[in-house]
Amino acid sequence: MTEEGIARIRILSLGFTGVCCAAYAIAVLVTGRPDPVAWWWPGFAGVISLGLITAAAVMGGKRAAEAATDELYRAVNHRAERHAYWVSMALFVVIAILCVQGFVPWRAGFAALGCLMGAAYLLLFVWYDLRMR
Amino acid sequence: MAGLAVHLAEHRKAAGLTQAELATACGVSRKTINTIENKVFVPSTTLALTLAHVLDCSVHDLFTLDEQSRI
Repeated sequence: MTEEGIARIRILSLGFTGVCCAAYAIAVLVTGRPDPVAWWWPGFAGVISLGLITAAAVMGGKRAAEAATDELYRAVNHRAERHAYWVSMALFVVIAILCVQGFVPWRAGFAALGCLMGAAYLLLFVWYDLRMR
Repeated sequence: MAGLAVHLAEHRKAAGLTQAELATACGVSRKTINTIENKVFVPSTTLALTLAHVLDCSVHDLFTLDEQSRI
C-alpha cells in the first residue's frame, strides 16, 4: 500500500461517512424524528472508516503512513477544520430558527445538528483534498 | 501565491528524478511535490530546505520572488 493508496482510502472512507451523516441529518429534518433510521448508523460508518484507514496505514507501513499525513495533508485538514467551524456556527442559527418556528422538533433539531456538524468537516476535507489532486 | 516563482520541476528533472522519487526521498507524498510545482501549495521552510538538500542546490535556486514582489 503506497501513500497514494492510503490517501484514496481516506478520501473514500471520510466521504462515505460524511454522506452518511448528511443523509441521516436530512432524514431527521424531513421526518421530524431524531431516529428516522437506526440511530447508530452515522457512528457505525465512522467506525468502519476508522478501521479502513487504520488498516491501510498498517498495510502501507510507517514511511507510507507518514507521507500520507505530510504537511500538505495537515494544511488541507486545518483548512477544512477552520471552514467547518464557521459552517457549524451557521448551522446552529439555521437549526435554531427551524426549531423556534416549529418546523422541526427540538430533539430532532439536536440530532440533525450533531450529524451536520460532522458532515461539514468530513465533506469539506474530502472536497479540498480532491481539489488538490 | 502571486509573486513566488517555483523552479522545483526544472531542478528535479535536471537531477533525473520523477515526482514520486523526489517525494520518497523527502518523506512526503507525490501529491505534495505536484502541488508545490504547480504553485498550489507553498511548502514549509523545513520541507523547502529538505528539497534543496535532496536536489543538492540552494533554496534560492528552487524558490524566488518575482521582480514586482521584491521590495
